[in-house]
Amino acid sequence: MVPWLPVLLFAAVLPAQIQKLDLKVLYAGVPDHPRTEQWRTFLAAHTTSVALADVKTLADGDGRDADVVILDCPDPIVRKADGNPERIAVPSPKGLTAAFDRPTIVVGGMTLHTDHLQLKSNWL
Amino acid sequence: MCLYEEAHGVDASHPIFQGPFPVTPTWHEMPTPAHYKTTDPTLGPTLRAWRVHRDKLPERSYVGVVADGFGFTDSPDAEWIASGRNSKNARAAALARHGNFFHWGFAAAPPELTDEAQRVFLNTLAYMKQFAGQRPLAIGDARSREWLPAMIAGDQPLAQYVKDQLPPSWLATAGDDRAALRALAAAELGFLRREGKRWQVDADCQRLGLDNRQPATLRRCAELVAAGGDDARTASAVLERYTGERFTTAAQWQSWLAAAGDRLFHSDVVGRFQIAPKNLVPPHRPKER
Repeated sequence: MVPWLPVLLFAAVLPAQIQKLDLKVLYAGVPDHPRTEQWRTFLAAHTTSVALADVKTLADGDGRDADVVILDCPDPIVRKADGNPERIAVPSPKGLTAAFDRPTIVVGGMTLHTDHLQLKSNWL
Repeated sequence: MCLYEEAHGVDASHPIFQGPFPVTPTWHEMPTPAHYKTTDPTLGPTLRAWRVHRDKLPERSYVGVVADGFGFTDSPDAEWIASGRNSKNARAAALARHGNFFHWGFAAAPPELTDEAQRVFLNTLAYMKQFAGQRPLAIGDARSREWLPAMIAGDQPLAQYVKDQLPPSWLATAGDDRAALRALAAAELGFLRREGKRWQVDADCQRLGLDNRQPATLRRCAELVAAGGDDARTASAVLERYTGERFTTAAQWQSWLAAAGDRLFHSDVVGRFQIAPKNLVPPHRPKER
């Protein structure tokens, strides 16, 4: 037997074993936005299941079936005709408070919400 | 919005770099942004950086968000993992955890993330599962006193918004002399107390020589209350001020402190001590950064 064969077999098997995390994920973003589909595709390839929700309506008590919740939104900068920023429009899930107890990853601009909750993960 | 393509100050010993998808970050050197030196003049010309976005962000694209990194780890519910190139300062947090909320400040959608960053994101999913029900403990909008040494670190004239936050006794003693202000900060940072939008030196803590961030201070105060004498009344006031509790005897204080054990912590966000729950998942702390 070739001495390094077990190593090769292990290397071939390991990626398949770890490609899918045994996790149920709730991705809360902006429905029908291309970014949401990009996240869904990525998460579906690497986790047990992905459910989608509208981040704007997410509230305390939601996500009970999920191991981890992701809060995300597309670029919230609303620009004027000349391309310069006019305002920031981050979706605001008013029903989601600091009492929300699901493990949650807050991506990019959704930090404005944890800022409103007065968490340390604020909008500097 | 102010966080760009790369992380720096990365704590690669954090579990999100360890697995289940191990990541050995590919490092590069990035020029230290000039504005970082206003709050930390000791920074060198470059910082070790880790690329998160595959490509350089084009003009007017979605950039990420950093959180205030000063004082971030003054409570056991919080972890500071990395900063990233940003328009604020080198301590600003790009990757961090507060309770069951993880701050992933980078704006990239998955196709825009490097392979390594994709793996770290997946590891973050796995890491966060254990924080179900671990709500943030230190909640509030007050800034940490760690800002003060940073605000007087450089050599520029003091801005009015800086003066508005410094203790009046420092300004009365040192005026605009930054070296003198830095000496006061080194000597008295542990005695500060927030009153409204401004920091004040707590005369009681200063008189007793006790740092109001340290749990040992409360235990020493309980001893002083038990001993009686001139310091007992001051120690009792310190105990009440920084715990929110009202006890009349030293034995009551000692009993309360014994029950709290090593779960006592002080955060400037709240301005007094709190007791962490017994089931708190301990935070990861790097051995050295």
